[in-house]
Amino acid sequence: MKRELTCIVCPRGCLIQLVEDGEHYICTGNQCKRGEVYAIQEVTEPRRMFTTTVQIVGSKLSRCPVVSSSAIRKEDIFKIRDVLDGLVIQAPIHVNDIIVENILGTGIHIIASRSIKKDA
Amino acid sequence: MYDIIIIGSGIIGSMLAYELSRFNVSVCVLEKNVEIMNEVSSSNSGLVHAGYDPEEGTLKAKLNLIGAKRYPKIANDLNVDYEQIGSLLVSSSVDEHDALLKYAQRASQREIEFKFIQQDEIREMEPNISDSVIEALYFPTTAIITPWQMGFACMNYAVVNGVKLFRQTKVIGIEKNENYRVHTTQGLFESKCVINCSGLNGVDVAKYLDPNTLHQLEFRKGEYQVSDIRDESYLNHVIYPMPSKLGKGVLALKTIEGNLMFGPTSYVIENRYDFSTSMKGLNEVDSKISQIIKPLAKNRMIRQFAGVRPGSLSKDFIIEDNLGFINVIGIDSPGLASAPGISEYVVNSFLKNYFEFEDKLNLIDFKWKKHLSSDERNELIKVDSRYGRIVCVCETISEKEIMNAIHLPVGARSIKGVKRITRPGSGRCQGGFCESEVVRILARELNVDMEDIPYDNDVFLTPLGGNDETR
Amino acid sequence: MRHVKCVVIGGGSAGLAAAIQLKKLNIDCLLLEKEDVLGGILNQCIHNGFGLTRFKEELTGPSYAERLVTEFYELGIEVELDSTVIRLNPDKIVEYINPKGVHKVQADSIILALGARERTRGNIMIPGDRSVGVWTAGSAQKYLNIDGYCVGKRVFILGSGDIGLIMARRMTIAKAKVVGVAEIMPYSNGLTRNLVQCLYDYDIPLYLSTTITRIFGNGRVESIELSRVDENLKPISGTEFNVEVDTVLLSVGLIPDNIITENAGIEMDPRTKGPKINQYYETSISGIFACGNGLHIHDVVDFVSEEGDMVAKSVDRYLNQNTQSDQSIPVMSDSNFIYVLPQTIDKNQAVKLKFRVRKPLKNVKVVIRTKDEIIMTLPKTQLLPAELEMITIPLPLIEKIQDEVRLEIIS
Repeated sequence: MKRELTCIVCPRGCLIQLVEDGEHYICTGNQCKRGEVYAIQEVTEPRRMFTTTVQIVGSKLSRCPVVSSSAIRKEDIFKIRDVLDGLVIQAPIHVNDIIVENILGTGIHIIASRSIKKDA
Repeated sequence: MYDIIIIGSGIIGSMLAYELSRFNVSVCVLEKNVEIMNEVSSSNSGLVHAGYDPEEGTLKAKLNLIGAKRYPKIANDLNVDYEQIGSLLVSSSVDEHDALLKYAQRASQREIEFKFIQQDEIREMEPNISDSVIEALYFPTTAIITPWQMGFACMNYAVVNGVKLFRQTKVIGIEKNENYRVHTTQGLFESKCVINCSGLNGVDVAKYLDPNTLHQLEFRKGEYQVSDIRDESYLNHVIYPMPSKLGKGVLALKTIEGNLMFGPTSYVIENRYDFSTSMKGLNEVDSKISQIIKPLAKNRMIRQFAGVRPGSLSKDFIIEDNLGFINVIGIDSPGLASAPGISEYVVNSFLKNYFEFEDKLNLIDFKWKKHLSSDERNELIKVDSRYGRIVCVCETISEKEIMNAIHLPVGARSIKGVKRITRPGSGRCQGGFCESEVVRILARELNVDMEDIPYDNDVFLTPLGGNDETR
Repeated sequence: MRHVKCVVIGGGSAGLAAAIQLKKLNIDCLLLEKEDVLGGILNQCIHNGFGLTRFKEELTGPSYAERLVTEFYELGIEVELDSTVIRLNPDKIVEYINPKGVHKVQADSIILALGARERTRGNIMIPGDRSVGVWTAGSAQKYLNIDGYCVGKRVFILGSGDIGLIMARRMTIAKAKVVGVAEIMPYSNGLTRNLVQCLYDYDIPLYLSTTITRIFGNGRVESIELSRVDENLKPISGTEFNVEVDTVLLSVGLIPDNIITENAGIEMDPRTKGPKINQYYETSISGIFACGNGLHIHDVVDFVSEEGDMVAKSVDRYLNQNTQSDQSIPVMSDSNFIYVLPQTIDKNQAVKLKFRVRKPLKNVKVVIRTKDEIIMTLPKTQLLPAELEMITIPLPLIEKIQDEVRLEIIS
């Protein structure tokens, strides 16, 4: 099986070819090791950083932006979105507060990406 | 049971409501949209024409003149914008000299002030006039107003003095027994007299009562281009080209706020609610304008819009009384200019046959609040600090001014209404920065949720985390 | 009238950086911000990708903003929120309105950090009905990320720059159906990363060389007409196709927001849409400086803040050394460039030139020349309009400059 994809780790954007070889992949076209790591991850288990907002009460702001502590599996995006859509959190919030720990058992946390004061 | 039902709250309905609110008659106004002044009356040139243009012997000629004469006092009483900036009727060919003479003679007969002006004086008065213009008639009494402001002020005065306004109330049937019974989406209304000033729907409403009516309307679309405020020094007067069979032609004017406006085009359309703009129409504006003035750069045009006018086939206003059902339809140009003349005519020639008009005692004054100067704002901030919280940066409009617009007797209930009354969203960012804040304030002041606030007639926001309806 | 050494107008990523740097240089300033919070547009940019250069980590917009805002407040810099500047006087009198009143302040120096606004439907003249349902991408983003509301259910996006791509993903996450993205150029100038993570991930089609030629809808948007365009970006008759949507988001460019700049009579550059500056970021009025998106449109927020840092140093130089630039050497460029900053330089120090090219170029050389000779030649494998380029001319080479500096591109 052959796959071609553009690496997005750095602005070079190398065009990488992957060929399946038994249990491994042979990677060509990359100009650095990071590209190979990215390409293999992308075809085996693509991951994405996830950002959204969560409803917050007790503050004059109504939404709190959140971000995943590391890249989640691409296939989990909508499930995680649905969990967060049902959430209501309370001010005060501090940046990097864990809003949801180990979301859906992934080992990844959803953290606040800003501080929000109470009633302000 | 009312003495008079007015169907439609465009400039005609609003002016009539204003006129009638001073008398001891009970009046209600039925408006199908969320906001008044929503259709023909808010998408036109905003001009009080001097009155030389309509053919002799027409209602248009008679009522434009009366309207133009009455506006200064009405504007003063209500504290709304009215500026006699004057106009030039320009000609680019010696062949047009006779036509100019004809208008001069009409103006003379109608006692409208005018003056013939030639090349040098034209350019002194209007440095940016097209090089091809050789001669012009100057009419100092042509004036500009802000149409929706005039209508809103009239209706607010009317409501403060007893007129009842019913919004989102569409007429669906009319019959006459002893009285007129007007069926609407919000129930039944009864009255002795009905005034049908329903603009684009003029004939449809007339048909509810008289399915065999012979009246027909022709709908003409007019497209406009609007420039940003910084260009208001580009023109000093309204510039009219020589009129044609299609109408007054593509004009160049500035609005009270200082935007330059070019238009309208004029062509017949099938769908009366087609307020769309087109490349063809905008190109036509561009090419016609360049015949009368030196054109502006493209990137100064911030917005395009189109208006639709309902015209009668006879080319004159249709204002008639059928046993207390008074049609005021086919009100195209010079409808806005004629409005005070039309309302006076309807009262004196028709309504006085049905009612003894006694002046109402203890009339409550209503004055429109105009845009604040820095000094006025500074004083008001001491009373309410929200006059200092600017929501619309482009037009310098504060939170309190938006709240005032919502809490007027005829207050804004939609983004469009707030925009009409205070102008946020009308400047260079076209609402990009301030719109969500305006919705937030509307929701708060009207005690509803943001998703209940309509843009124009319809709501548009869906709260996050809601039902998955789309996939 | 109150008097301050420096007024910073705008509390976003440029103004905050400038104010922080001013404080570190012991210059007291007053920062005026129109919103009731600091941070500017970053507050609504909840996605990540910011700060890699400045903070050595990838942050979301709000996190990046918070870094600056925290340091700002820790330094105790004077700030007035809810303060909208309505007039800037050439004598450096700043007039502003806030809930405490209408104020005037006399400044010794001013930093304009005004930011940008979005191009609207009216600016690009899309014909059709005045239907409700057309917003700029940023406006929809604000409704979504600040207020928690989605503006529509079936969305089409015009413009495949990063803002359009980000909103394609964001609207999808918000449960809207993003039916497609149209791009008038034959290529997208968004980051490849965004094409992958915003479009390909969600199977959102990208229509290149395509634009919206008409909007239909009685009341609300009902459908749009798209057309292919030719090499002159003009719609090709016969290629029209219709798509049913209720929402159109426009991501068709940012414009530096310079009303008060223009009204003060400051000279503008039609190519950047911002004020003309010298290498000290000083405008045509001595002591008034500009930086950030209000000066020219940036792609990377780290460089916006860096401009804020630089401008503060220029103010320091202006206030303390009181040196006037006696030279004003124009910086010219050939038609390959959309713009080059600064527009004028003197020969007193090294200069960092910033520029954008008009179309993608591969394997070219950027040549910097003065009247009689070439000063620098830089080979570049790739130049893109979407990427702001920077070249520093070191002092020894600066000294070679005669009456003008000219940038050219050769193959």
